[in-house]
Amino acid sequence: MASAGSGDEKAAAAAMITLISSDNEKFEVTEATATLSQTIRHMIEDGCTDGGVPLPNVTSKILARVIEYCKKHATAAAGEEGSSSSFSDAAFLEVDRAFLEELEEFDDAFLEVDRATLFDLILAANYLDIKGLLNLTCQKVADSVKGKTPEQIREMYNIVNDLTPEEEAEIRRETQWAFE
Amino acid sequence: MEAAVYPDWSGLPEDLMAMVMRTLDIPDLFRAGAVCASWYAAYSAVRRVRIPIKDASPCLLYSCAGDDADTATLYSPSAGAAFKVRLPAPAFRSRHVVGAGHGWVVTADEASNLQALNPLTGAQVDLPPVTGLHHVESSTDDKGCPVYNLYEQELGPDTPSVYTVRELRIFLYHRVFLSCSPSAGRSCVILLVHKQLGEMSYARLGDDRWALITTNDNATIPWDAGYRYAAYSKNDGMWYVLTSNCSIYAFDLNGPSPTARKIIEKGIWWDDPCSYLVLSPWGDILHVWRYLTLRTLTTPVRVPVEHAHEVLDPCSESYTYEMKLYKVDVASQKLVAISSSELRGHALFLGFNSTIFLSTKDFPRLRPNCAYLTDDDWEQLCLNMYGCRDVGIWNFETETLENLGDIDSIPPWLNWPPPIWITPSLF
Repeated sequence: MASAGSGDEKAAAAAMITLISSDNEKFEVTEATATLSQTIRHMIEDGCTDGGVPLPNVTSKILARVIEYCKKHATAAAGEEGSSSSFSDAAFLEVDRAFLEELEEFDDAFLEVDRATLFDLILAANYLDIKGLLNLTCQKVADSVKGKTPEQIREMYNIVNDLTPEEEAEIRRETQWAFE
Repeated sequence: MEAAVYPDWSGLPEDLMAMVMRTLDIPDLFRAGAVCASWYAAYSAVRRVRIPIKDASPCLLYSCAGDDADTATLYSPSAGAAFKVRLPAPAFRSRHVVGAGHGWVVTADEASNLQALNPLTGAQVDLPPVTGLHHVESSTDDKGCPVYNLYEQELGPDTPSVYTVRELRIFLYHRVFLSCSPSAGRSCVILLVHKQLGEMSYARLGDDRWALITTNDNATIPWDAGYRYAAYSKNDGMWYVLTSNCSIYAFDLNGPSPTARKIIEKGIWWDDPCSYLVLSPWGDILHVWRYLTLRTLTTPVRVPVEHAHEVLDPCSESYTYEMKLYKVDVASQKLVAISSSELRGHALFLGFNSTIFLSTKDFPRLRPNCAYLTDDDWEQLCLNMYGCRDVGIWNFETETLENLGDIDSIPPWLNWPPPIWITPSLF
């Protein structure tokens, strides 16, 4: 089924893919944008994208954001030639510094979202297997809990402490050496 | 529909939460683990990999050849496992390691200035600068390169010894001791044993200068031989200090000027072993002697080309061939030889670190009545930074140095900086 033989790859790069959100909204994107998602890349490779790619786990609101991210980063990937999937460190260095800075600014602005959106973006990045977006969103959560007490974290993320007294005692025991 | 603004963050799948936690600093990781049951599960998974220790037992801190220069390895003989930490600049591998205590390591950077560093939290504080010592000043050589002038009594005030800023640390610092964790700020007293002839200086964290303890004009301070080793007792706030002719004095550094009181005078003369002072929990002062000698290697030690000039003889290495234990009998002013069983099930951890004397009762994998050794022969270090490191478990019964553990489970250490024992702490 690997329909895109090596000779067709140029043509395939310009091909459009339709993504369908859980609430049935359709998004037309280039294959270069769509294939930042490993999940979609595999679907394309398996030739099962005719008639659109249904993404029952992603709402239109979140899918629109994900596509925004992929478009920007697909341009970055294209900038350093259509090499294969993962960026090596060396390849990264060669990319124009100014463009990298712009990309960083884009990422920072992209992450200016409420915690509910952040949560959904993590799940979507995981489901769609978009490594860059997953790292970015997880790092955002990590940054937000830095220096916070468990109580502050619970408040910030609206989490109920469901640890049993036994578990709490176990945690204390485990961390005692470090917190004494 | 807008009611769904609050997603259930405790419902984030464990592998994703683990991804978040993998990037956290260690103190943050511990706190995040206590948030709720699902975060705790993610924390546990991450912790098993990142910090596979569950107790306060000593780890060997060192640089591993396979890692970059900023990464340090901690090997826990109690857990039989190793883990890595990334340390703040300057690169760990560029530092000399001259002391450790209370979970912190004291290092000298390439300008020979000292820092205290907590490898677990990455916290770092500068100790007073090297030029804050009474006999060190900054200067330049005839080519305009920065150097340090070191003024030594026997050479007089007009003829300083000149050291490059990088090499002074090797010759200058014998040992550094901390009274408590540097996180306590100015309560932390730093005692420095240094060149020339084992002088001592001290400072509080945040001071600009070191105060010299051993001046000839301070009649209350005994100065008949250089100082070798110190142990701080938090019970009485005194520093127990061993001289090179085997006297022990208790120094009080809490007042406006240091005072000293004799514990034992010239206990015994000996053939100059490396020696350590141990304050046992039952009130005894123990002496540990470690005898080192040189042997010739058939294969020379590999030395980085750029440092080849620093190595006197790459075929020569020092190793421990004998150890002896003594108890100080204050009443009779004598040292009494003791057998290892009188360590009462404790293990010693000896090196540049402040001596750790730990009951093995709570740590079944630690060997009782043994000494966990790492290299601290500063004279040998001066001559051969890249020589073999004398690391292992000294068995007093068989008088042999045994491996720290299953060699396959211990990532190999580099010889520089010198590996050191440290009890990890988040404070």
